[in-house]
Amino acid sequence: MNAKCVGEIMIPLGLFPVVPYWFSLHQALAQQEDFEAKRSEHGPLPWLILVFSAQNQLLGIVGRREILKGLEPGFSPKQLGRASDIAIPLQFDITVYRLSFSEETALKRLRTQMGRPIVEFITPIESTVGYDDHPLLAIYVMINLNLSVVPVVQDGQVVGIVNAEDILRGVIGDIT
Amino acid sequence: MKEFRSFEWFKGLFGVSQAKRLATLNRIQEKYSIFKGLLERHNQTLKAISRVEEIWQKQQTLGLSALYEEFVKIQEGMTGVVDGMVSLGGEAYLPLKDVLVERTRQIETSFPSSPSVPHDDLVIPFAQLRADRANSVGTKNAHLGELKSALKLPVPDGFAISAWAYRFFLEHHQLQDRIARLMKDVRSRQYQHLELVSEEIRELVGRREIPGELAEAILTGYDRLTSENPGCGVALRSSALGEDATYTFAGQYQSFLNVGRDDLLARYRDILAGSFTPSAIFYLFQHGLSESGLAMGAVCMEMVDAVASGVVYTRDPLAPAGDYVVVNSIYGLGSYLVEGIITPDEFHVSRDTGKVLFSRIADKRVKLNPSRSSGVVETAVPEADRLRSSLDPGILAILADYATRVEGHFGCPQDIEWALSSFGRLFLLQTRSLKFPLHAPRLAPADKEDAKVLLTGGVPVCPGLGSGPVFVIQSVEQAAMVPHGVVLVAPNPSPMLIAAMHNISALITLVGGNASHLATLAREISLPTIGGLSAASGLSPGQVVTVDAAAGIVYEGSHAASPVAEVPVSASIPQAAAGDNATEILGGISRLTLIQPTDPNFTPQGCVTYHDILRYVHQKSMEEIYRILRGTAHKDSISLRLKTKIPLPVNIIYLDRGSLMTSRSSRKISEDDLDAIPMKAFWQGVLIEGWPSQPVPTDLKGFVAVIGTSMQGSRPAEFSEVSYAFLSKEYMLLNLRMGYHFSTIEAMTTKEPEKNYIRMQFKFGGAPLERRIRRVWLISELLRLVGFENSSQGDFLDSSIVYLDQQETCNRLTLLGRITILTKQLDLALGTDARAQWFLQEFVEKLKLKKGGG
Repeated sequence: MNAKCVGEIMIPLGLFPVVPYWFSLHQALAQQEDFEAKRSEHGPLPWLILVFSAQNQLLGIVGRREILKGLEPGFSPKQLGRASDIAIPLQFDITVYRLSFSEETALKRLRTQMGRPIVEFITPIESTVGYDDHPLLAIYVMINLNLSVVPVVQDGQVVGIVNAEDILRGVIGDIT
Repeated sequence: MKEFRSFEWFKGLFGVSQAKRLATLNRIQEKYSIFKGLLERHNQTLKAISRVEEIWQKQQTLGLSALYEEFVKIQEGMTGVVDGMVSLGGEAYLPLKDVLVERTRQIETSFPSSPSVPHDDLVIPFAQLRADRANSVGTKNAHLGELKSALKLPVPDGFAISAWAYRFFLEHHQLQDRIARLMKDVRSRQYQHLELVSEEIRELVGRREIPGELAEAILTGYDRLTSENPGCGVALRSSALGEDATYTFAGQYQSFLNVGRDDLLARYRDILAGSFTPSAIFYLFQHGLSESGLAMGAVCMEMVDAVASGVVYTRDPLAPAGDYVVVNSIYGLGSYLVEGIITPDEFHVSRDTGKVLFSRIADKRVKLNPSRSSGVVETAVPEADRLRSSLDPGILAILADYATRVEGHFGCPQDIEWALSSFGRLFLLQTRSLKFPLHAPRLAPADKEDAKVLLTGGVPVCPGLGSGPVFVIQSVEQAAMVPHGVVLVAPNPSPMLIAAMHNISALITLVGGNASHLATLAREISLPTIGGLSAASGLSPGQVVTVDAAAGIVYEGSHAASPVAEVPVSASIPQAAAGDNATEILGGISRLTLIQPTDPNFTPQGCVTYHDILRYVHQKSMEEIYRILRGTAHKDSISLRLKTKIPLPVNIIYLDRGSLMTSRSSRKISEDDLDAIPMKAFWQGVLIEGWPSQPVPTDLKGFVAVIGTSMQGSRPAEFSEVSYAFLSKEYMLLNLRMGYHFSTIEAMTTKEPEKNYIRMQFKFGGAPLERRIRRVWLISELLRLVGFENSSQGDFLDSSIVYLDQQETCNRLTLLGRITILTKQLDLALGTDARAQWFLQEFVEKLKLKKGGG
């Protein structure tokens, strides 16, 4: 059995939006819009923004979840003002949240956060897989580092992204 | 000794020796000093050229007189500029010297050469004189001969003492070389000691006897002239070669009235010596005439026992289209009129009917008459005659007839001296071309009262009046699309505007003065132009305005020029007798043909005028200093590091101070200590935008240059982060390395706008070419909005702006600092044209950019 290598399953880098680390969230999201068309053209692609250093080195990856997670403190109860005098840390409680929620304040806070640098939202790159590696190696990385995508490196340079769904489809396809 | 050598060897291993550092520093500082001096000389020379154009345009009557003096100064300036260029750029620019010599020779040949003196009779009767003998006897004599013989008009009898007679006198006393040497001394000292030299020459001439042969010829001529009235006085007047033709020599040479036989030779000698008065020598040089060609003829004619004398202009200088002649008249001899001692009667006499159309009788208190012995005497005019017309209508009609015939004969308006004898006979004493002052059209006084002033305060660049709808361009690149007949508002005085200038009615530039390349072009085509009127950016496109360029005013609506100014200068009214020569000379000096540096003809040989040479040197000097500074060896060892919170290492090399660099005690300079004006301004922009430090990647080795290679398939540009700034108080050359792109920002920010410029070049990037091109487009669009001229090719952008005042230059530099930070690495993100547009809009709002302003 000759399983496909990671490089054959990966999504080429050019299909993802890339931004420098100092871009604001607002600028990065705008960038993401440009790739909506590409996403529908190439079938389902993961919603990702790749963030690069001044040396054009891949610093990290930002997905929707990372963005929402980064923004969440902006509209969580302890940040909403009404509950700011509560001394003890709040446990997750939707009721408390509902009570203290003000759409106007929350949106205002959100808007101010759009100027934050994208680098604050990234999941830093901790590991990569090689272009010729077996896809299961990528699965191993993902499970151990709690990732859904991993950068693929060829000749010392990042050339694409491989995601868990594609690997699964590829590997299961091979088994069956 | 051995130890010392070892130490040197040790030092060599770890750094550049102090001596080498000093030598490097000295070399670039010296080059910078040459560059600065060159820029200064360039500027001064360009101003001198502008002055010449202005003189010529405002006072054509001065014509060549002011031109030669300026030409000499400009020539000296040009030599300095070309020498400076060779010092700065080296032998490669030596051909410029030959080009300058050749262009100078061409201009000099355009100045009318001193007339050569043909061998002729010493004394020639008027009857034998015609216009073509002017080279022998001077124009005044020749014209009198023409009036007498060709037109059969009444001219007192007389004879010419030829220019050859003057030569004969000089050669007889062997004075020519001595005079030439003295005159040369005057020229080389630039008119200093003029009076001393003049006195010396006049003494040389004045104490010499008139040679026997010449004296005999003159006295024989006199005897023949006065045969019917022995012993009577004659008028002896100068008639220099060229006088009254190309040049007026007005008031430079002497005339004597009522000269008797006994005084004749002495007065003739006075006339010869009079050709070397300080003002006459000065005048001679101003006209580019050499002393070797100087030749003085003399008119010797019967005195007219004048009851009235005066001048007739065949055209009214203030209204040349008027169909009348202008007669000025006083009692007695005409000297008091010419010298302005007496206000004359003035008459306008119809050219067609001879009728008096207008008369203004002046109070003529005194008159001048020949004395009984010799010379002239002033007498009081009887009370009853003072307010009486000095001429009756019949004489005025005859005078008008004579005048129009003379004008017809010579083919251009004339300025004629005349006298009315006590026998009631009219005589013509002299005729010469009438000089017209050039009136630049101005707003008619009536219109001026009604017209609403929209803007004032610009610099008049080229006088004139033009009206039409306002058309605003943001960049000179739009010049080609400017419609016909508009008043064009352009951001800066770029010579590239020439594409539009022939079609428009007036031009306003938001910046710039009257010493720009464009100013020359505007004056060349007489386009009403105002410079430096920044408020013009507020004019609404399509709004009809009238530009009064001489006053630097913009009026609302369309208004007419004043009637005087509307008179077209027709072919029959030459602007000045010297016009053709001056136009040619001015062309050789100030015309600009070398405009585009990318033109293959942008070479020393391509410079066909002085202005071209200046343009070429200006461009090349900037390129050379750029090349020299960028190529500086071991820059690190002579630089100071800028202490800043911005993560951008900048090494600074001072071009106008030495001690800082050689001291190892402090190799750092803080932002607060930056005193280079352009760098401070630029850095202010960098600080406004700021630059966040980047987090350190976990594994640098694995993730290099992804975008550059994988997406484009070519090697990325080299990554570098150390920038260099070469600074002086008013100059900056900043080589900015910002990762994968570099930009070079060069700026001069002096108090003289003519010297100021900013030039930015931008290249490379880390992203694929198409994205880098989008970034270049984005930057050029931003810069275009604030008046920069851009040229780009691929991912290379070359952008510049000139002639802004110091504050405006600094404002643009601050803006460049902000744009530099805003657009770093932006190429990565410019995946689509729409995204580039999106960022453009975002930056325009952020930077608060408006049309045409900073």
